[in-house]
Amino acid sequence: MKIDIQQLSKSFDATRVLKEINLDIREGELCALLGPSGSGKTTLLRIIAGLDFPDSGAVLFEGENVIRRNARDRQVGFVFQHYALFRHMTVFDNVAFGLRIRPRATRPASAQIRNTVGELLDLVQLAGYGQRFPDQLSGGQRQRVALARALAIQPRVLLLDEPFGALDARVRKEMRKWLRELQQKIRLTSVFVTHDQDEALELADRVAVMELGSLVQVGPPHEVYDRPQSPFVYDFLGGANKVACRVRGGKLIVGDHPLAAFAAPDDDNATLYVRAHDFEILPSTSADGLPAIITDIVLTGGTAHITARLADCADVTIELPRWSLEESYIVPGSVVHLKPRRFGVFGPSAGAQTEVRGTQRQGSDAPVRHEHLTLSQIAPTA
Amino acid sequence: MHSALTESRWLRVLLTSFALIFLSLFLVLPLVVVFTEGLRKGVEAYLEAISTPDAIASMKLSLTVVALAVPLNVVFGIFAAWCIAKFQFPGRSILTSFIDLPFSVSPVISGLVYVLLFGAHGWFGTWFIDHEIRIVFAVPGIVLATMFVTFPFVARELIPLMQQQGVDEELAARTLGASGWQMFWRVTLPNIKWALLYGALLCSARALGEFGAVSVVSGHIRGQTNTMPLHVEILYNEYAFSASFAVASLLAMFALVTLVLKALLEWRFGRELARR
Repeated sequence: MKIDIQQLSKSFDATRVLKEINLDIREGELCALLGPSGSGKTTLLRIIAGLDFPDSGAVLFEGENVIRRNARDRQVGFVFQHYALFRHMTVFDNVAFGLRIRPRATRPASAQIRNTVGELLDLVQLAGYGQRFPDQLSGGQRQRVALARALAIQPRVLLLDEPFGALDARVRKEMRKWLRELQQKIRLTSVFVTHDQDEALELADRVAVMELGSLVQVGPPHEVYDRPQSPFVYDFLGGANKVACRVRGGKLIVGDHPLAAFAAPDDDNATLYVRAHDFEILPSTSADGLPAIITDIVLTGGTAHITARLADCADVTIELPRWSLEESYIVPGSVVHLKPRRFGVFGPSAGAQTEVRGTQRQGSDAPVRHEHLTLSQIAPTA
Repeated sequence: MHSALTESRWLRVLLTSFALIFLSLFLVLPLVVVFTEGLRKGVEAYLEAISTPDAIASMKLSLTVVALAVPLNVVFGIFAAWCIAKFQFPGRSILTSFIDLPFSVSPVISGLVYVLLFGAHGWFGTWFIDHEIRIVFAVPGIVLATMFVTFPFVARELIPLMQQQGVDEELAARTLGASGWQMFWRVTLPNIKWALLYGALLCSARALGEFGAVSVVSGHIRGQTNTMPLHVEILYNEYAFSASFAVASLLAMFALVTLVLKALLEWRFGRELARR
């Protein structure tokens, strides 16, 4: 089912938790609402479900505004962050709940209910667990019971609130993969909320990034990751090193070193955003890159986390595969050149409060290969 | 086990005996006295004392009051606990404190309040008298006073449990298509049933034994508005000690039954709570 969210706004007391949200969720897609806590993503999900109501705006299911309908009549499958299984019922009764409470006219016969529940328990790989109580299950199993229970009512859309938040890291990974496969199998329009960018990028067909109640960017995972349209998105997805820079005469300059050609108006107060794994470390003899001195190297598994200090004393973090340390010049104390393979440049950043206005220009392809440039022009608030 | 909490043997014996002596003196001894005094003149006199028409009338009245006050308090208790535990609204904390009011106010005052409200010279008294409805010095007044005094038991028992359980299960039931009633009967009530039973039990015990508030509103009309505790008092004041203790022993027995049921419930309820 297709969902259109139009001009949705919501305030709690004086705080605006959602600001004119517009979002289309396509038939059969798995859409992630990604944002830090307090960004309004859970409120948005609950409004889609009918568990919360907006101050203004509309939610259309297949073109029909459902804002006046409560959760009971929307036929949505909602999986709660802490599962909210009925603790006094067995797994079987939990899954059967949505079928058994139907009015007699539409309620399936009990044999039919038994079949349906059996099939769902098979689907979530919990056949044989029907007579257990929720407290006898592990976190991952409870999660799957919650999913089976939500699917039992043949929902038009599946909504998941931080579906893996309460699981430990290993189970979380398995569940992600499993959910992805399940969603591809049943092709049910699904929306899930997460603050974990890896989760969103790995699972979703499209990612909607939220910041302080606003939708700041929507797109396929690789696009959102590769072409962040704001400093916030750049920083939130993948984390980024921030280095003060200038744009002068079609060149990007860090400190005294021209870094690359850059087609944008002059700006003395820009910031360069580079993700840790987008740096290349070159020997100091190289003509490319910014001079820096390596101050520290920490190894975690196959990754080397390298801290380097630029000429203007800003520290940057670089992530390289561990084998790259075979290069003799990548050792603490060594002077090297850092070359960003991908980067973004944004106007004066005043933290998350900055309002991005005006036209955004995608930087033209710079002569450097693989490089992608982005520029946001910030109009000073009058 | 040599833990830091292990005290010397003598200290343990001393403390334990002190606790036991205290319990015997203040709790067990009075209970024994009630039964021995009641049976002092023999079993026949005992049976006679508890089967006089006035005694039987007082039992009937007491049971009627319990049968009315407890279900009403169960309903109001669930309602109040639901409001407080599951919703955020202005005045929520004030409502929470108000629920405790009957615990902090002397029962005699509670009784007086009803006399002031519904008595012949009370605020609403004349209206009720005009419509020939008797509240004070009649059964309705006794039920009202009892309800007031025993109100906190159910709500107090439910609020912490409901707060701890939160609203997610109810919301889940809603998204699965449950109506308000279905949600309440199939999800909320089963989750609180043991605590509710426990609260109702405490409420009944207190309702049966309530003296102060009822004494003020009852009017002490023999055979009509005397509950069991009031009947005990009247007999005692008339120097019918044996008969008075005989009736008192019935109350004591009810208390003992309550105690056993409560212990059973705690055993059961404890496991329910552990099931999480």
